Amino acid sequence: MNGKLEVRAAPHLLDPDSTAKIMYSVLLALIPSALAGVILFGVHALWLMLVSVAAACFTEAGCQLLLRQPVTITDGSAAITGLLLAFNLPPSFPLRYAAFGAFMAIVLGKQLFGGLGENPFNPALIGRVVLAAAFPQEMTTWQALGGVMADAATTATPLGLIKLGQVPALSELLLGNVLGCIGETSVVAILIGGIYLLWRKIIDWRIPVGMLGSVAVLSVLLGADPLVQLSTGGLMLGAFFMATDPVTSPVTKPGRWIFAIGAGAVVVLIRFFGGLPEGVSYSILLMNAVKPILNKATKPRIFGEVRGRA
Amino acid sequence: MGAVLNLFKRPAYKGGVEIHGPVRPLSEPITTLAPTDEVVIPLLQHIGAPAKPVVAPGDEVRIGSVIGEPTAFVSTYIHASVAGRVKEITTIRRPGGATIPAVVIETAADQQAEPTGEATDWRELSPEEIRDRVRKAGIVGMGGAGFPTHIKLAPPPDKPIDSVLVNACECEPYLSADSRLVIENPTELVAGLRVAMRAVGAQKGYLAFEADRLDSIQAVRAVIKDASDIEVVVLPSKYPQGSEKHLIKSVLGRTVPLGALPSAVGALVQNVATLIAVFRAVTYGEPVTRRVVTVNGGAVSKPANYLVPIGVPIQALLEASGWREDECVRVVLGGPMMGRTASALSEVVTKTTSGVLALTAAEIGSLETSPCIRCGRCLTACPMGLYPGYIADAGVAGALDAAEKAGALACLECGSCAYSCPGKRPLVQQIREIKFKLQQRQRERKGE
Repeated sequence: MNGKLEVRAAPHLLDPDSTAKIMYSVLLALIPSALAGVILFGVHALWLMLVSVAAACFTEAGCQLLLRQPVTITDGSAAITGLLLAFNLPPSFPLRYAAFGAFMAIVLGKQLFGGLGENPFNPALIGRVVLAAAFPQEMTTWQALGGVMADAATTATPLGLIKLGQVPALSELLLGNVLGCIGETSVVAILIGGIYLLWRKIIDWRIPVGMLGSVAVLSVLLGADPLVQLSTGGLMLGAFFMATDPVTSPVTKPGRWIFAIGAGAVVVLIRFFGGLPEGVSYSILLMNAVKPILNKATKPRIFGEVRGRA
Repeated sequence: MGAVLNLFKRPAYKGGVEIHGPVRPLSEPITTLAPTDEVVIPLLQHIGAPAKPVVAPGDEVRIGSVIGEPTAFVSTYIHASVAGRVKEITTIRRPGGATIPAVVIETAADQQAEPTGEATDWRELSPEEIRDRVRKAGIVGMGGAGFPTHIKLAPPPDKPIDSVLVNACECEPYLSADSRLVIENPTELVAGLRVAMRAVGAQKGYLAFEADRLDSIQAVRAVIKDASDIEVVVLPSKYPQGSEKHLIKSVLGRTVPLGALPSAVGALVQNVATLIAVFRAVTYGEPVTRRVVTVNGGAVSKPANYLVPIGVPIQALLEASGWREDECVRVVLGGPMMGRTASALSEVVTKTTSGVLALTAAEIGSLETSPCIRCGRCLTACPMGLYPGYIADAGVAGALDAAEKAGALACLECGSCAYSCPGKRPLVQQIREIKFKLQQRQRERKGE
């Protein structure tokens, strides 16, 4: 102790979990889906992930240097944004556009609001929405440049097929042997990562359960097969990895329930009544916008607070 | 059987954290530590006004001689913890900067105690006589608060107390002084509880334990037997189970209103060491001159519980436990969650020192802070139902009104939020600053 005692405020014990550990656990949980993406859609999928992650990290570092702030790309949060954005891109998406999307995700989705913890919307989803608006053609072209899905006979996603009246086999949906964005098709891979995060208590079970539950229940009410609805599109990825983003979801437990159930309801609304085949991104972004109200409305009661006192 | 049932039926409070701290040195008996050549006895070891010295340099004292007398209503007696000669009346600096008087005594070779009278049966004493003996013995809340016990034992007449609770939860990790006291002294503890019940006119007494203190529970059960006036309650091990308000909630199901004292719901909570001291004071007229202190932490090789004279420097305790100076970064007085750091090894054991912890950097964990990611762990952990991260943000932004509205003043400073925070934000420190400013503002508004 070199003759000096450290004088600090209590507590003198801290939980071993740190922000960086949480972020790296999320990255670890995303690896099964990344592997599935490469196996299903070929090496271009890997390039998309690498380019998007690199662009996100570079952009974050660039912004922080420009703003004379400490560079924090080692905390893993920018890498998560980049990877999740790549997961939300079609298998043949041009690499330079992916880089642009990651740039916009970090600048528009995160740094503009003050960086980690301050952004109202999920940055990866902001990137996706920007790309969907800028490159509508490329964002809806479903063609695998390699991998298992290179020989696919169709150029439609399962949700597109459903709109046409064809229902894909559930086993194919679970494995991810269908067209779609590179990280979203394999339900099994997403579940492996999701269950790991639940076990590590990094994500709150209320969010995936609430979101998937509300989609399932509403699907049944609307006469659709709930299992097919759950395992198509970006729902699984969204429910486990996007809606659970701590920064953009509520802090209270009741708030999280409302947030998740609301997001599920918007998904069903878009899928069944909207013009788009899929609406997970917009549903989560919409609920992100409501988050502050949910936090306020579900504020816990202070222990010993007397009710009804003005 | 009863213990298992209790676990299910007791209404637990929301929040709190499970801390997987190191094993407490529970299995070893309490060791008596000899006084050092010199002891420094502060004349303020309690909440309230310092006692005034009633000895002068050169005076001979014995163990238990009065050396300080109360100067105000909230104040108490201070006694010599060793026999010897008063060397000087000095001043020592308290954390926060205030100075208080202290009596330095040179320890004599022959350790004589003040003679005590015949043992008195407390059942023959009136509540008034009990309080007087407790006051003369200088007893204060030995769990750490240090509020003079004779005042606590005199509840306001409009708020009758029906239940006295013994807080034997010792919910902070690392500490085991109280648990050890229960194991070694269950008879005096149970008698002390009955004395307190008599003093406040309560019909029912409860001894509340965390579920993992099996030996302590067994020890008191053997003493209580079939008595109907006292009940043993076993609670889940969840920090801060020993918080007064949360203990009352768990044991009695009553909620102490915000800003009120436990007497508002007819309850009185006492610490284990305090009640044993009460029994000994009432029965033998014995004052508080020593206490049991846990020495623990990664930087000591022999964690132990010591019975130590008040005024012994913490260095003596650390050395007795095989302190490894080079590995120690912080010395904590009290528990790791709420204790304060010692600024020097010359700081001494007082009536409220429950532990001396020598912590290594590895135990404390990383101090590197990172931005709040709104994960809500602080909110989930807060046993008071607050959103600590929000309050701290409001405080840093200078938004005092927002912090007050969010309940800043209800904060217990238990540390559950800061413990849970993955960003390692110093939440307790930030909220404490806000509370200080809010209290200052309240005083200013009152025009004091």
